[in-house]
Amino acid sequence: MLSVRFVRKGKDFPQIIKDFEEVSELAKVEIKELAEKATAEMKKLSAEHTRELRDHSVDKNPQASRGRISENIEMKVIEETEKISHYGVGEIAKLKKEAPHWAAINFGSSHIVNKAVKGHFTGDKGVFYANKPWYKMIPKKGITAKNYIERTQYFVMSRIKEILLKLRGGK
Amino acid sequence: MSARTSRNIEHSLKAYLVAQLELAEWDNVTVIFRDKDVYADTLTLPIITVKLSDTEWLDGEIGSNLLERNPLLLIEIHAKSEGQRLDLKDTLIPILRSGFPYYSYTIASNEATQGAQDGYCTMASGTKITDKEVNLGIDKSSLVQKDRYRHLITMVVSRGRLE
Repeated sequence: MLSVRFVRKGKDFPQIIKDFEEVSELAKVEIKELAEKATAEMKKLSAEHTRELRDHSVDKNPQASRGRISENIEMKVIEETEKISHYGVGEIAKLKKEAPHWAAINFGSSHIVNKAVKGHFTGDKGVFYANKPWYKMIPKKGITAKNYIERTQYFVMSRIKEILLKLRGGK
Repeated sequence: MSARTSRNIEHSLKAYLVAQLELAEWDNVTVIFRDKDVYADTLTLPIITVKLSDTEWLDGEIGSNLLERNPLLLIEIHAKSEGQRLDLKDTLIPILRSGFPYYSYTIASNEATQGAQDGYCTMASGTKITDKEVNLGIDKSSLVQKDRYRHLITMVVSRGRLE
């Protein structure tokens, strides 16, 4: 006679459920922390061009760039319940309103090429200021893509792997 | 001079895309490295740019200080029309998801000459290809032709080797 015997070993079900709840709580904390870190990362990456301009500026005139993209990237709680932790970083509607150049800086653009702009250049690295003295200039080069959104997604993807490893007790 | 790994990955991907697009009968596509070169008058659409962005270094194995390199690759399509943008991205994604051969290149006079194949780049574990339309938030008719129909594909690759 062929028989099959099933024997459950190890933890009993109440203990498994308790362990699962503990992991679930830890996951919620980790995910919220990740959302905060992702916000900081996106702010940092989006401000790279700002730093470049300021570093090159002789008089450190903040008019070179006010860092409006970075200032308007925030973490938003979309849903935070017992079962769901859902956060958003960098609300497009807000960026469109407060820093409409967010897309040109992220993806790169040539929309200013061959179109006259007024202002002047200062400093040995040639930082442009849209104020007096006024000169008419025609840019020949487009805006280089910073890809701060894609790079933040990459940052999040990498950290999620670490979190999963941690929750499984790997580290 | 031998190129280092990041540059080799970029060159290998470019060579792979050129070859695969020809096989797929897309012989009029220009593949270049730097997005700023897209706007050069000498280049005509469609254009694909290849760029290696950030790199994540993962711990290799217990007891070793070797690391696994997982770079982020950005592949951007600049198409002539909306239809061409969609066709090109649907052509590229199956080509990319199977990975590409890695070559070690020698650089002479700023030009890469193909060396021997030295492994294969595959998608890093736990990652996926993403693709999205590039929307600059500006009316398309006011953009230059090269900015109107753009599409961005991202992927993370691994050589499966510790360094």
